[in-house]
Amino acid sequence: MIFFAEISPALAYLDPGTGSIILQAIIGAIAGALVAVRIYWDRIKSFLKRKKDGDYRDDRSVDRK
Amino acid sequence: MERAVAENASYRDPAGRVYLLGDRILRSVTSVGAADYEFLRDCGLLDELTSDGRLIGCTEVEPSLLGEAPAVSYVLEHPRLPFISYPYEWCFSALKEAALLHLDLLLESLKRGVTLSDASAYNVQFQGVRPIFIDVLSFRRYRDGEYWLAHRQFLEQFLNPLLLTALRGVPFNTWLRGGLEGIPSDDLRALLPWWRMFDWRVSAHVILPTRLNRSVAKIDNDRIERIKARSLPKSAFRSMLASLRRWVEGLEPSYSRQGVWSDYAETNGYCALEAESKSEFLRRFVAKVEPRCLWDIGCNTGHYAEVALEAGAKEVIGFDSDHGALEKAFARASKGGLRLLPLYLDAADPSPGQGWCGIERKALRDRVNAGGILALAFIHHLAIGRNLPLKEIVDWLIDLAPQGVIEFVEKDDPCVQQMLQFRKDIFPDYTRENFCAAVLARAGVVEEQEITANRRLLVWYDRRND
Repeated sequence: MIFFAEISPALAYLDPGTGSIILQAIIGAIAGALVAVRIYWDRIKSFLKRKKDGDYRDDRSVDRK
Repeated sequence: MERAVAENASYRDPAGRVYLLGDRILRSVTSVGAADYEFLRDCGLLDELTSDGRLIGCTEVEPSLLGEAPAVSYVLEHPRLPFISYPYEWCFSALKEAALLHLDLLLESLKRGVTLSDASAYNVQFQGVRPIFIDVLSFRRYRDGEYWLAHRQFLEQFLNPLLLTALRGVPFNTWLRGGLEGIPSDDLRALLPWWRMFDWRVSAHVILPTRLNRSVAKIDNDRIERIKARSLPKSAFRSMLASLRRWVEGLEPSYSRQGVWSDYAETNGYCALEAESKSEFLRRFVAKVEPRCLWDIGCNTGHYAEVALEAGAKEVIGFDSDHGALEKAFARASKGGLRLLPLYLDAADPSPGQGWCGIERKALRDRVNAGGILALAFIHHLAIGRNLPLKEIVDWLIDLAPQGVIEFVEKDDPCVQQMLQFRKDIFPDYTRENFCAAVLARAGVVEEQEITANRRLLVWYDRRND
């Protein structure tokens, strides 16, 4: 999505400053990365947990679940 | 019939502008701003924020009140604030409260899918020491993932001035008066010691954006487009705001030297009895004059402003040039819930008209609303301290309000002697006789009283019949 293109004249009257926008793009990217890391971390955790609880089942049964 | 006149301070926003119709304050909402205004009204946020006093009240009125103004979607009426002050007149605590209000409004608005389109400190006013947001048209619908376009403005208008005072001990007032846009991050960065780069918040908000600004010239267009196409998730925006809020809340002024007058109340040589007779004089004055708004010129820590409020003054605007004293007065008003707004003023150089065409921000003399003034132990600071002619000082004070109390401090008073310590006495005209003559040339004297062994004189003038 291109947000700047959506900005109506009412919003565009303020010059946001390029540095400030790049900073926020970085923050946004870090936030996105953290979310991704968290999702993967949760997956790894649940994978390990299931493996630990998995008593007689083999790994494939975990994958199929 | 009276005609609505457009207010000079509100021309920038295409969503609408402010008009004066006699004593009434009206705001037009154009087709550009109508949908956002309707959203703000219909989602309940407008009512919520106006009812708890953080946003100025507004009522929809007949658009025809604006006369032959261009077609507008709505016309709103706001209650009139008794006095408009500007950020360069605020003390540190006032600017801090205004910044916190801005961030709180933004954080709460986001919950309802609303954001603020700008971050101008001029959108905040004070009732006593309570900040109130006055620009209803700054609110607009939030688009998921959008960048905070007002980040830079928030820094220039709020954070950078606060940091200048908190980190470097430099009062921001003259800097903000020098540039209405605020303090650019580039300027602040140049003033900070190098090791501040290890403070991650300074680095992230002040240093990094200025560095990025410089390098942006080297970035190709494709890259710019990719940045534009990215987004700032709402959760990240909220954490950014919450972190800024915690930072601002923890900032305190670190003045390099203590104010001279902030401990004046304790060291000024009055004995309790004399202070009491001065207070008694003020009580009589306030009870008789019943000023809606009283200006206390040279308010120090606000002690006599408090006396005047207790005696029945509805509101006091205090002025002083000592930042430490202003902080104490602000704290006094916050603690006691007093309707006292302490403001920075160098009386020898009052706020001029400035901004676009010199009229966007009004001069102090064009904002005078005082029903009475107090000028206690004040005029010798201008007459002896700043070499201003006694008669002109008295004229200036009497012009401010129809009635008032002016204190004259004799030249042999220890306070004046201290000012003359290393100076030649070039003030032969600074005498009680000349002072009284200057008052009588402009006004009648209702009452006068000597209040100390040093023959300090209180004069209550009334210029209405002169």
